[in-house]
Parts: sequence; structure tokens; C-alpha cells
Amino acid sequence: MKINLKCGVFVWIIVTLVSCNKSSDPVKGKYQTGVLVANQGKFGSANGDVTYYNPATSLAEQNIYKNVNGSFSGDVLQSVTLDGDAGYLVLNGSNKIEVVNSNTFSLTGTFTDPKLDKPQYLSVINGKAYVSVWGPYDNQYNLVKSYLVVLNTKTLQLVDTITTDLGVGNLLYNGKYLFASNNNFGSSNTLSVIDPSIDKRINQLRLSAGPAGMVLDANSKLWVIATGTYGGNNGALYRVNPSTFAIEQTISLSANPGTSLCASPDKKTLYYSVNSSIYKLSIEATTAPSSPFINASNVVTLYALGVNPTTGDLYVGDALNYASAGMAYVYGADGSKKSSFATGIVPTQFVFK
Amino acid sequence: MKTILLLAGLCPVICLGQTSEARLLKPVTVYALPEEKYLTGSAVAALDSSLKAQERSRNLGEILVYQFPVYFRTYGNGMLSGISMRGTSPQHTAVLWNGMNINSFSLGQADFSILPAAAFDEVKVHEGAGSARHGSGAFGGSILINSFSPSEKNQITFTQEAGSFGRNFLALGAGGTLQRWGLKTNVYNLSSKNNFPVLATGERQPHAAFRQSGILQDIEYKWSESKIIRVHYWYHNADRQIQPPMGQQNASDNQQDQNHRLSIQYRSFSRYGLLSVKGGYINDVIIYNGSPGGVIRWISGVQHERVWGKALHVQIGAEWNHIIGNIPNYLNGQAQEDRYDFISSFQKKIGERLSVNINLRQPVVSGFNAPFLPYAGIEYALLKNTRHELSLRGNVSKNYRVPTLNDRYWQNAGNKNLLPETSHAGELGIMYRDKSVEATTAFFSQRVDNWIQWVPALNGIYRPQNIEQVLAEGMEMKIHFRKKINKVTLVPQITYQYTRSVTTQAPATQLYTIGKQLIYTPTHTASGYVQVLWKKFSADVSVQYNGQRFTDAGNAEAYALPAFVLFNFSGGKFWILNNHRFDLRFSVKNLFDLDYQLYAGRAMPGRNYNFQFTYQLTKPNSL
Repeated sequence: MKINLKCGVFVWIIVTLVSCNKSSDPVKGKYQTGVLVANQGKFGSANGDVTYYNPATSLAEQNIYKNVNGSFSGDVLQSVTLDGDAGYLVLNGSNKIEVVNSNTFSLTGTFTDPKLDKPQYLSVINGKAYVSVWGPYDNQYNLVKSYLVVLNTKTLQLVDTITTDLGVGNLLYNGKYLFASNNNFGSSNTLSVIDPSIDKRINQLRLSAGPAGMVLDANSKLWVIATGTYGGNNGALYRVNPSTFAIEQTISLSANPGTSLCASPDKKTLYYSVNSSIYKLSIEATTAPSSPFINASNVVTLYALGVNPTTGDLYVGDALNYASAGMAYVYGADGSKKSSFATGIVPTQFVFK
Repeated sequence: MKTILLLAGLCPVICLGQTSEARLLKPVTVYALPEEKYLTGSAVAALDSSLKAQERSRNLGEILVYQFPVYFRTYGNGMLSGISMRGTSPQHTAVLWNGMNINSFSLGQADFSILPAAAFDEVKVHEGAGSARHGSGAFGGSILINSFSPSEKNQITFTQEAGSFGRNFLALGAGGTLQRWGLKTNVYNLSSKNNFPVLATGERQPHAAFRQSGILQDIEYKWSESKIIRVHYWYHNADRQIQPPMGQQNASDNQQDQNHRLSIQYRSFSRYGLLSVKGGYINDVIIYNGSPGGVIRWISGVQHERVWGKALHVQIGAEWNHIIGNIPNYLNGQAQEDRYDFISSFQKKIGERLSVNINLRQPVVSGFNAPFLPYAGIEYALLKNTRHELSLRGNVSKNYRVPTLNDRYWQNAGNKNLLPETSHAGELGIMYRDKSVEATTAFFSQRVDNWIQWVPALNGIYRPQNIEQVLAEGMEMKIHFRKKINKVTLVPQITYQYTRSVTTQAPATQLYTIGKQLIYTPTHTASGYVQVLWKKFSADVSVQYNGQRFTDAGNAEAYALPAFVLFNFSGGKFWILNNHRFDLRFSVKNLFDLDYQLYAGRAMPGRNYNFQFTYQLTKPNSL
């Protein structure tokens, strides 16, 4: 009887908690929590879209944009950025940004502009979206002018452009400055610093060939991975002081790493990839790890790496031959294999919500 | 003599005649068998010339698709268009113009969107493998385009078309003969704004305008009834905005194609047979976003054909191709290659019912040992009388495809040691024919080894490799009627093909493609038309059906293009006044405003209209 009562109370508490939970945080949509995978699609076929993965059920739903809006989001979905209930889909091939409700994925607006030529990544700061844009090629396929396009997120109107170095890609906002890495397939070697309060580039740091992914560590220091020159095995990691812009640490990787740089939930461990291997190192490290943390030998083309900021699980995207539906593999923070799921064509980015 | 020179220089003369060849060759026809006889056991069919004439502004692909069970992966309206025959890819059909392969030697495939119907007198389609006869790349089939000699009648023709989305077409032709000379000139120009409404989005298609124009010059000189020299020259120029994938903003890619093609043939008939000597020059230039790349080819060949004993036709020949690829992405911007071919063909009729045919080819290509390519065909008439004929036919062959110049010479990627793709093919069929019906059916199977694919290698660089094996099997049928009921002539035709074309071997990284259907290769393909002729009126409805097409090698349903049926209608009338003939025709394309795609993400127009006016002047006597 006592036991039953205890059980009853326990059940009552659980039920109350669950229902409280529900009433205080109403379900805003099917995709409110979980993992989104941006899939580029097959180049030129306009079939870029988003895979939704629910880690609780290990179930994936393909092409959620199409399922809701009727057609694929466009050509070469380069990145997805969330800002509150808004989701920004940056379409590198279609030269447009589709704005969706990030919980339901229904389309709420589209931004196009003649200046939006090969857009890459997006960062929202105080009601403005900053989009890294490669700009036009000359007839030898060399970039001639890259910049950030600034738009008002409410009106979806162009506000400004800010010149960067060629091949601007990843963006990171640390609460004060917007950092933009200039990669250009290893032909650029700089990091642009933008002050969003005046929409001006205030500094440009010289790192080494191919600055790409960035992350903030537990000490709020900025880490940048540089992918190196093509086949040069000269990638590197940089720790940058985001206030003084001093380069505090340089770690040579003696390899050409992938563009992704991720941090563990406590931000004391960094992850990056080389071919299909994943490496990890402490933010206190001074040299590159000599052996991989995970050897994902079943992955054909490691194209995306992400870390769940809550669980610390590692997500690896396999683009296979770039022309078929890809795969994603999930590893625990201890490096053990947990699960896998199918993605769209060329999974390129994991977004956790 | 002065007059003749003057004519040769000035006469933008021309035309449509088609009778003189037969007449000319008649006394000695016995030596020169038509091409289909050297493909005994295969299906060879000519493109219907009346249907072609009423579609003069269309490209060859847009016409073929209604008469044969073939699929075109077309990157938008008027854009790059590659054929898929019998489950193979666009690089596996050889397009021959006056006997010379005109596929792109850098890319391997022929772009059918720049092969305008207005430029061709005769088109024959050989379905099935035939490298022994047509050389590299003839796996799925061959398209044989031939220029006629100028007609003995003097003719002038003029065609004007106007259609939806700013489509405008003009063609002028004149030709005739004078003493020993025959001259024929054709010019054409097609332009289109091509800003059709995209059915899926309701927006106008941006950046898809195109213009194509060209000139053809045919010259024939007869020394005597038995010695002829013929020169055919064709220049085609296309300037296109590249239609972007649906929804793309700020599109800016453009492409110009410039193709010079020259064929010179000398033929001498004697009691020892027919001697042909030929020379050719082909210069293909593609300018993509302002940066040019081109391939030049010099071709020469000699061939002798005669009859031995009891109707054994023998043809032996040799051909030399010198190829110069001027492409900036090749090492030092250039690649040169020589290809030699030694060919022999034997055709014999045994009794009234049996025909056998053997073709042999030994190519020699710089860089590797090319395989020996035999073809053996047989045809047996089970039933043959004046009313009808029922035949069994079949063939087996070995075929090859030389890697493209890009496959071999692309800097930091190309591989000179790539092996040629080879195929073993077999086919069995039945043919029935009577006064009003012709029906054929064929079962085919082809295994392609060393299938070349560009795959990511070290450091993510794409490199071509001989990595796959593909098995393409299927069944195909065609039924053609011609029936006159009172004063109405009905001409219906139906074609159907079932194709299972799957990857049977793949590298370890692509095991998921094994057993999967090749991309853009529908399992079910059908086409057909019904033509109704009454007095001077004619009308037709044409239809194409394509089953579901996978667009990714893993056959994901999510990316597949759904099956569709497309209908067109046209109706017209002609008037004849003495030597003048006038034709008026109105066509509706995509009658039911269907939203469909031939290549993923590239919009095709909904319902659209076209008017055609043709004037033809024929004078039986010389000018």
C-alpha cells in the first residue's frame, strides 16, 4: 500500500511536471527541437533541402522544406541559420535566401538582390542579417570582389555591403564583433573583423592559407581553422584574442583539414576532421594531436562535422559521391558509434535546436 | 566554264530535292548497298520526312523523341540535350554526319539542341550496338545524318515560323543543277526570348534566350556518270544564355557554339567496284562565359566496295582521324591524338530467305591497344510473298568507346592510361510487314565493361576511372500503320521500350549503386503519333511518355522525376499553283499545359504555339 501510494505520488508528480512543461512551453511546430541537416543537393538540379533528425526517436524526415512548401528550397543549400523562430536558408546556387519559421518550416519570406551572388553563411545581429557573399568571377573563374551583404530582417531589404577579402565564408559573432573568414580555396589567408554597430570592417588579420570554421572556447577566445593550400598539408589552428585581435596560439596541423571546427558543450575541447578522421584537442594544447580520436573509415566523403551543444554527440555527414542521398553518423562524446541516418544529397551542415 | 565558276561562286542556290541520288546511282547501284544492309539483323529506320518538314525550326531531339523510344536529358528549353538509347548514357550514341562522327570529342556526347532539323536532308536511326560499323561510342545506337546531292530540279524554298515566347525562325534554300554541276545552299536562323512562364512558380523563366543560325553548302561535280566529287559544308553558330535551375536569381552563364564541318567525297564506279575517297575537317568551338575551347579534326579515308560471285557484297576501307584538342584546361593547353580504323564488311543473301552480314573493325588509337570489333547479323524470312513478310533477325557484337579528350588530358585529373569502355551486345527480333502495317519487336542485352566515371579521388579531386560495369537489357517494339479509308489516310505509329539498365559492378565506395537503375534512364518509354491526311489538309497528334526517372545513383524516390505524358497537336493545309507550293501550319505544343522536367530543376514550357509558312518554287528545267 505504501509502495502504491509512493508510486501514485510519483506518477502524479511526473504527470504534473510533464503537463506543466507542456503548458509553459507550447509546441510551436514539428521541428521545434532536434537536429537539422542542410543538404546542398546535386549541383545544378535545384534540389537542396533540409533533413530533420530527432535524436530521441532516431528517426529522420527528409526534405522538410519541400514537404511543407511544395518544392525543394533551391540550388546548393549552403547553410541554415536560426534566429529565434526564424530560419534563414542560404542558397548558394539560387542566389537567394529563403526565410522560414524554424519550427514549422513554412516559408515566410525570400530575399533576392543583384548583389547576392554566391552567398555562403548568415549571421543575425540586432535585427540585421550579415551574409557572406563570394561575388562575381572573372572569365578565368577567379573571384574579383567578395563582401558581406547586410539586410534588414524585418523588411528583407538590402541595407549595406561591407567589403571583405576574396572568398569570404564562415561568420562568427561574439557579442561585439563579427568575424568573417576569407578562404577562397586556400588562396586567401585573412580574417576580417566587422563592427556591426557601424557596419564597417575595422580590422583584417593575416593568418595562413584558407581560414574557415570558427568557434569560441570556454575563455571566450576565438579559434579559427585554416584549411591550407590545395594539397599543401599546411592547415593550422589559430587562437585569436577577440578584443585585441592578437594571435595567441598557432598550431600547425600538417594536413589539409575540413572546414568545420567544433567545440564540446563545455567549450574546453575542439574537434576538426582530416579526410575521414576526426581529431580532438584541448583548448590548452600547443601541438596537434598525433592520432585521430575517431577513425570513420566507413565514411566516403566527410563533408560536415557538428557537435550537439547539449549532449556533446558528434555528427558526421557523408556526401558519398556528391550526387546521391548522403548519410549521417552519430558518435557519443566518448567516440562510440551511436546511430546513423540517411540525409539528402551532400549533407553540409548540422544545426542543433 | 566561266558560267560554271560564276555559279559556284555566287549561287546561294539550293534545296530540297531527294531524287537525284537514286537516279544517278541506278546503273551501278549493285555495288553500293544502303547502310541498313550492312546492319542486317538490326533495326534501322529513317526519320519521317513529312513530320520533319513541318518541324523545321525544332532540333533533332525534339523530333526523334516522337518517333523512337528514346529519352533526352535536356537542361531546359533549347538547352544542352543528350540522348539515351537502349539504357545507355548520352556518350553512348554516335552521331554521324556524312559518315563522320560529330559527337563532341572533348565531352563525348552530341548536344542535340544544336542539331537543327532544318540542316538535314536525311536522318536514319540505328538502334542498338554497332561499333564495327559506326566506330567509337555506338553502344545504344547511331544517328546517321546524310546530305543529299542537289536535285535535278531547280528549287527555291522559304520557311518562316513564329511562336510563343518570341520564337522566330527563317530558312531559305535554293538549289539546282547546271550541266555537270549541282549546287545547293541553305541558310537558317532561329531565335527565341524563351521567357516562358515557369508553371511551378508562376514566374517568367529568366536568362534562357537563344539564337542559332547556320549555312549549308553542297556542291557536286560529275566528271562522268561514274565519277563524282561531292563537297558538303555546314557551319552552325549558337549563342545561348544558359537557362539556370528553377528559382535561381542573377544568372549570368552563357555559351556560344561554333561548328564547322566539311566533307569531301570522291566516288568512282567501275567494273571493279566502287571506290570512295573521302576527306573531312571538323572544328568545334565552345565559348563558355567568354573562355574558348575547341577541338579540330582532320579526317581522311578510302574505301572499296564490290560484289564477288553470287551476291557477296564486300567493303573494305581505312580511315584516319587526326585530333587536336585546344582546351585551356589541358596540359599546355593542347592535346593531340591519332586514330586509325581498318574496316571490312561482308553481306550475303543466301537463297530467297536468308541474309547474313559480318562487319569487322580494328581501331588503332594512340595510347592503348584498341580491341578488335566484330558484328555478326542474320535475318531469316519465315514468310515472304508479295502480300507480306515475316522475318526473324538477330545480331551479336563487340563495341568500344574511346575515352574523351577530357577523360584523357584534363590537367591534374585526366588519365592517358584509361582503357576504352567495351561492350558485348546481342539482340533478337521479329519484323512483320504488309501493305499497311510494319511491326518490329526486339529483345536486347548489352554489358558494358570499364564504364568510365569521374569519381572523387585523393584530396577530393575528381578523376575518371574505369570502374563500373553496367548491364542494359530490355524489349522494344514499334508498330506503324498506313491506312486509307475513303479519302482519308490515317498514319498511326506507336513505339515502346522497357529498359532495365543497372550497375552490376562498382568500386567499394559506391556499392550502394549496384542493382540500381542508371540516372535519367526511364524503365518505360513510349511515343507515338497519329497523322490524318485528307485532300490538302493534314493534322496530327504526337505523344511522348516517360516513366519515373531517377536523378541520383542511389535511386532515391525523393529526387526522382515523376512519369509524364506530353501531347502536341498540329494542323495545316497546302496549296499548289503551277510551280508554286504554299504550306500553312499551326501547332500547339504541350497541349495540356503539363509541368514536367527532363533534367532535375530545369523548367520546360507549358502550352505554347507555333505558326509555320513555307513557300516552295520548283522548276523542272534548268535555270
